[in-house]
Amino acid sequence: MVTPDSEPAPTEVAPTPAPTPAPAPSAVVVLAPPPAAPGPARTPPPEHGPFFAGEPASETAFPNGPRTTDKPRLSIGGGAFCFVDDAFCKSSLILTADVGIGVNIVGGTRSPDLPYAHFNFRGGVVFKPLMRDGWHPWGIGLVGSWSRGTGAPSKETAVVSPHTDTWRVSVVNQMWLSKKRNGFHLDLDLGLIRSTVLDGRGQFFGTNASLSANWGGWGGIFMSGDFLDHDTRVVFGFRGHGIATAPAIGLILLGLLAGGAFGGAQ
Amino acid sequence: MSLLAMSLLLVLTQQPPPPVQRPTASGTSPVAPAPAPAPAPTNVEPAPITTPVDVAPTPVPQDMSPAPAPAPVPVPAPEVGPPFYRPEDMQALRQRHGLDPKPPTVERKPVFRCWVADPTCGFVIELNATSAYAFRAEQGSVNKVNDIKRWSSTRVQYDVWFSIPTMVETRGKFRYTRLSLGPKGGVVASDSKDIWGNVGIAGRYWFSRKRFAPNLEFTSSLVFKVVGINRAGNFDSVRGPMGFSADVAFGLGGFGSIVVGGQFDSPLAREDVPDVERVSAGGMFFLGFRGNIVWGAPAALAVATHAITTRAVTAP
Repeated sequence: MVTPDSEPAPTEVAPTPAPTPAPAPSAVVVLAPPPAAPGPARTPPPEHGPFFAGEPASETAFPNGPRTTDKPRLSIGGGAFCFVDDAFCKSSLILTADVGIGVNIVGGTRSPDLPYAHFNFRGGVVFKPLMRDGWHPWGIGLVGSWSRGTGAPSKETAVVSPHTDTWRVSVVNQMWLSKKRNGFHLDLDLGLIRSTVLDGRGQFFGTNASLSANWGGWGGIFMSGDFLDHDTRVVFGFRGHGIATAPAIGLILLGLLAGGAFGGAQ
Repeated sequence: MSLLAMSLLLVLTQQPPPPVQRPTASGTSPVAPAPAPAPAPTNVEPAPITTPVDVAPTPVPQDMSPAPAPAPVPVPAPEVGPPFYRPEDMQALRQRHGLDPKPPTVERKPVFRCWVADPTCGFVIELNATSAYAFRAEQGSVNKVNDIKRWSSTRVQYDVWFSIPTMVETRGKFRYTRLSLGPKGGVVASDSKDIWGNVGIAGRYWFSRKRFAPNLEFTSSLVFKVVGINRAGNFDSVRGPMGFSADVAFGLGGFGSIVVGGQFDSPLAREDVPDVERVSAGGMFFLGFRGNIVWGAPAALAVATHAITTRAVTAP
């Protein structure tokens, strides 16, 4: 009689009760757990492959590097809000400065295409609205920026427009390709701009598009285009988070100030 | 008696066969069959047919195996999870491959956490300040042969580096950066209120894992004028074509390095460019010191160099 409290019985019952003199290794194989009963089809992991992958299981780690279980750096609420964006931040501050070089494409035959450079300051907030129950690669946000760039091309000796100021309001679409700390993500910004056109003094509306490759919230490289009537500016550059760039900006301004650069012309 | 046995035999032959029993848990030790057959659980005949004592409404699994052995064969418990090797195996592996027999289990901490590059940190964001002597040159009038302006100046540079571990080495369970590579960008300043932007890459090869590990740094970048003295004589945005810059440096830790490099500012002199927009070719060679601003001295040195240069040096 077998009861639930008794020892587990062998899986298979020998068809013949003939005993064996000693347990053979094959008996272990026989006694191995049988294959699992066929159940419902197993769904693959939701994220896999080279993209959207988390930290791989590893027995080694940088002694002073971040751990996979650490909360995002400079965050509150366990990633509910991050001052430096990261893969597991539900909302993040965007605060960057950048420099870039490109070309000012002037429509018609008014002027040839000339180099255009700018420095830009950018701020806003991004969210990952689909990351409530688990990780999700998509984020969306709103940013505003101001840039000062090279003046419009001029055929005259006098400088008509010494510089080109541009205001932008853009929607940020983030696609995080990695769950890792400081993970890699591509951002597509689309928005409206307000700026001068060529050497005109008025302010006009235009559109802006930007594609950037970023490492966490620390910044990265970008390509941006401002599109106005007969005045297009395409820029390639590098942007960095304010935590890293603000000291550099402060030091360069301090050097100029101490050197008397703001004391007047010449 | 024989009538009772016949009736039980008839009942049993009409019942479905008992289900096959399976282990209740994967970690339980199976029971091997005994070397000798045990007496039948009941004395009901015939013997080849197993007879349950009581007939339940539902079929009850019947142990038809012989009696359990007095001493079950010890079966090692299955491994719960990785690693599937023992310390002796690891030691043999280290010996076979000539590795350190006693890998470290404790590692030092960097002084400024990981704001200064360190082989033990992995991904590092660093802000480096450069102060260097610069030998500058610029093309003069194109109407004169070999008209080149040369003068001594300085170069101040603030760059943000994303140092991404590109090649690592492992010692025990610790990972160390051997080669880091990543994007970088920032600004370059010199005399005459010249300020360039730059976008490029920076790398560092570590020769050891110590705090002041010697290393070789190398950078290259696109350089472009952002701010300077414009044609009206004001300190404002200035147009300039794209040039390039590159340098190599020998450093200690991520704290500081001796850097040597050069920069070339390409000319803007196409025929379709108006004369007022034309820019001469220029450039510089520089030799100086670069270090992380976190520990102070590189930042102070760069600000002082920038201020003195702005006041004391003027381009010819």
